[in-house]
Amino acid sequence: MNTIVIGVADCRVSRDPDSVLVTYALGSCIAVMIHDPVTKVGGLLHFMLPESGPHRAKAEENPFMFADSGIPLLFHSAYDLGAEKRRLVVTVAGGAQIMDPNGTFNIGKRNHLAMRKIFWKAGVLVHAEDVGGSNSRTVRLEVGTGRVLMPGAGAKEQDLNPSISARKEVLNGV
Amino acid sequence: MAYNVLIVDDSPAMRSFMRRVLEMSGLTIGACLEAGNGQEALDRLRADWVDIVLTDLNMPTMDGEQFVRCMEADAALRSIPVLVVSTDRTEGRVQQMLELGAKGYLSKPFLPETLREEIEKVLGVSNASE
Amino acid sequence: MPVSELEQMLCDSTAEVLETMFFTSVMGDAVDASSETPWISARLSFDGRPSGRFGVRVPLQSGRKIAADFLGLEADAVSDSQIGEVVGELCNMVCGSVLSRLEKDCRFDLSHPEIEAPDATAPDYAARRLLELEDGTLDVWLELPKAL
Repeated sequence: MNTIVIGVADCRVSRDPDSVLVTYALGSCIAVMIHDPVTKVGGLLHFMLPESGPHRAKAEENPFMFADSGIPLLFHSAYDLGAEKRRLVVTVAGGAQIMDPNGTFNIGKRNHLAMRKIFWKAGVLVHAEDVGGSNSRTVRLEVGTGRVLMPGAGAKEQDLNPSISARKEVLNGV
Repeated sequence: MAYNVLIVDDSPAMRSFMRRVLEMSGLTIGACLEAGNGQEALDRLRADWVDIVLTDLNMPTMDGEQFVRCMEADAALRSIPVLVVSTDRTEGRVQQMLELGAKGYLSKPFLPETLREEIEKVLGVSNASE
Repeated sequence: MPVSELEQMLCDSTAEVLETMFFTSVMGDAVDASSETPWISARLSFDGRPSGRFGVRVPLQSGRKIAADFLGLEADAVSDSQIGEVVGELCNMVCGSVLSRLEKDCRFDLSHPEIEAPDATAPDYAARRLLELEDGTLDVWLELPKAL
């Protein structure tokens, strides 16, 4: 098994069936995971902030830091490896309500809303997500199988696909 | 399989939103018909077959409750499954519409993904991209 | 019921609807939006226990962005009639949410929202909030019988 670690403000795609894409310590950041079950192309983006507009220079240096610059790049990189948009299974994790350096708690929610707006405009629906709350998350995508795994309660791993879970936590400000 | 859908809502904006969810859903959609009230919807159903109806409740001319009653009373229409989509989220109303024959009830506002899930449940298809 | 409680319901319901189907959020109370013109308004009446009226109004530019977000379009692709339709549906959904908070088990009948002239203002005696959004402001008001 080939473990590929994706750090903060980073993104990787793969079509190696032995690869696992993993990202750690998702606080208010969000991991977007995509997988084409036919061509077995998988990708993972770990972004920090919703919009690149106020941070043009940073976005040019690292577009993966922002939802609006990172998400299109994730998808197009997957297309370059043979993924097709209509087949992509999209899973999302993160967006916790954690105090950010400005002393506010809402960056996780803003990241989530920004991502949902981008998906809506692009015609993409999410298949499963685990967002909100106040805990940091670690998540991994198995490129060969498309499984998205996250440690759950009692350290037992849960497979986030295919159902949508814990959705209302973000909206209710949990 | 291609599904024909009828969306019944007096809000053109809401009809657009639901149409967009259907397009994104991964389901193969044949015809996506629209009506602005229950009477228009009945007229459409008598001309075209659909596999599922999504209907609002608060509408002028003929509201959603009356529309569902008319569908149930018509042998040619009663087998078409109905998903109610309404701002009314009172338990009494939900129960009433399910007892009148609706197969599902979704309150507004709703997530696009939730609408897709409810449609798939009513149609009896699994949540998987095709 | 204290006006402040009603006004909190207006804020919570607006946030719920905007976050769910418009992919944007309420940032807090707006300080002053008097310089933003023209506005687009939608209002409706509702029958139940109680009966009353409800409305929202937004500066036209905010309305254009809100409509674009709801319809999944770019702002310059949205027509004026689409802005009115979306603001009308926003009015409908926020009202429904407020009424469900006000009276959980009571059924209400809502009229079809009417889009109003650009200079229409909210009634003076309503519960009201002027809210700051990510991309503009939104004025939301509720008129109930004084005995409530």
